[in-house]
Amino acid sequence: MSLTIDRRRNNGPSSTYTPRLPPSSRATQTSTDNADERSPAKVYLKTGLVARCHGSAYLETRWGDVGGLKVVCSVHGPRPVGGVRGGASSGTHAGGGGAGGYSWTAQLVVDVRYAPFARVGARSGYLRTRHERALAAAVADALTPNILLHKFPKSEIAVHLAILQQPVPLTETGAVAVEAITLAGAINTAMAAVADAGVECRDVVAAAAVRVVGDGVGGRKVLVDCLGGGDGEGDEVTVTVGCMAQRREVTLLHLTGLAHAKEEINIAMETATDQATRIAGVIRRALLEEYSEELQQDTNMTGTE
Amino acid sequence: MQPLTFPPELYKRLVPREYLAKHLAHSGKRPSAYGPHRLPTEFRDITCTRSSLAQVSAGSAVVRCGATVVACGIRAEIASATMLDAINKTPKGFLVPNIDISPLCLPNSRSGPPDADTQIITARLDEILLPCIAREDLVITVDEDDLVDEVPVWCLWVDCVVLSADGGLLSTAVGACVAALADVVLPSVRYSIDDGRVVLADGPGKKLDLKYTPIVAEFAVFNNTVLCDPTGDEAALCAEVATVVVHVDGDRVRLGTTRKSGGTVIGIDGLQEIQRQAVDRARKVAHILTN
Repeated sequence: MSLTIDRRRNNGPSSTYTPRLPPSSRATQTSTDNADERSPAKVYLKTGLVARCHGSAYLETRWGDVGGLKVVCSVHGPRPVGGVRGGASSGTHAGGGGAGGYSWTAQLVVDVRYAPFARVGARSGYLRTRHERALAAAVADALTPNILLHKFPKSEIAVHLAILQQPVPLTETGAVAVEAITLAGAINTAMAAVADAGVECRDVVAAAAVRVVGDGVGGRKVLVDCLGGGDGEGDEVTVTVGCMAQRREVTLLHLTGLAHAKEEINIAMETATDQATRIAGVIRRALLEEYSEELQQDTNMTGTE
Repeated sequence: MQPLTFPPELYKRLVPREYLAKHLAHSGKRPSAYGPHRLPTEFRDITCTRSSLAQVSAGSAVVRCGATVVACGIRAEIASATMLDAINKTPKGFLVPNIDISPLCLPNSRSGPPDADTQIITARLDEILLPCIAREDLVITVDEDDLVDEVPVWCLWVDCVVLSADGGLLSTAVGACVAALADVVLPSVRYSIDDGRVVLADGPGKKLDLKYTPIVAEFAVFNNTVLCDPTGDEAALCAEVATVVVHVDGDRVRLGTTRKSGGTVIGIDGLQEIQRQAVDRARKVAHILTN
């Protein structure tokens, strides 16, 4: 840690830890906030919260009343490559990028940042981690086939995501589920913000995360957007699918774990695609609400201005 | 006078200075894209949502001032106070404020290490927030006497993330920090010899006891008019700026730091006037942020 002190920030003491329950009493700790295994999380989405950007979106995925995933996204673009300053942006690039600086298609630049207080466990610092870059690359992969990049030559579309809170996993192995849910939430927020910015797209891309869990006794269960279930016994499969809702074309597929049969994977993917289509409906409704409000305001303002 | 043949937004982008000057001359109010038009002496409304990031943070708040939104999350972790206070030889806890102004809210900024403006705001947060908390309160009491060198203390990591920037970053960030500090509940802990570290204990958590609530008011001067709480567009047109920090402690209100630079329009009387406005603002806002 001491090698990476950045003197431009307040660094504080070099090693701190979060107090936990002592090992002797950990057996009595039970999670009272049990996510219902059968019902997926509730997704709330609102656009247009960030000032002075072309488009923005805020997404919350909630289980019950406490906590959940909170993501903010803002989109700047299409704008000249490198931003107004002309310097190189350090996000992850996708789409065409000419070596000589000229590009026939727009460059999609995605940048993800976890707030220091967002992750479960220790506070993360401010340095960009490989984890954030990997997430940004995955979001770029999911969105690139959807955006009509060829309509904006020589420009870049910069998508910035800030993850304010990650959900707390309910089981020991829930960390994989949390990452999958975060990826799905990031893609959904980015899509809503890109659409809010008026960037031309083919369809609405939405993403969902599904797990297949099961102990050896009760058989295998498919859980949608869930943090609970499956207490680490048996093998788990986690699938994140990003797809274009109307066309049902998959733009992103992340699959990890150990499956018992090929059918499990097919069922998981179908379930994830169905859930993603539902979430695309949420995105569409949020955009409609925002723009019907604006139309309402315009018609009101012409009278009173 | 001919009516405009193009929309007002375009006029604002082409000649922002004239746009603001004409609005002030014509109606006496400042135009705003995100809210009602304000008089030069009006501040923007502040709203505060607390405990919204409760699941992992010890305390949190999201404060919105007009279109500027800052989220502050506080993580409470344990550190060792190996350095004692030089004078009293008593251990002290840590309060580490930081602010992150990313390209999310300011498209012209670059992601990566903080630039000069961000570093200045971080230095101001240090200056404003550190004195208002009694760092001795953050020391964890240890029953056993065999810990002489390493007294465990709380370290409060106060991290602000700017989600939307439209001027007033320092005042909104301080507001978010203050609201989050008022929201913090330190879990009950004890030192465990078996584990060699501090662990959670039974019992209710403890709230922080702030000595006072600091509130910041910002001002800028445009064409000899002092604008309170300037938005981003207004601040870009003004060279002379002023900042007043007010300490609110229940009914007692005292002046903290006053800074003014960039011009000579605000004189001695002007300073007293803006301090008076800052005190009025602080009285209204302190209640919203800490309750």
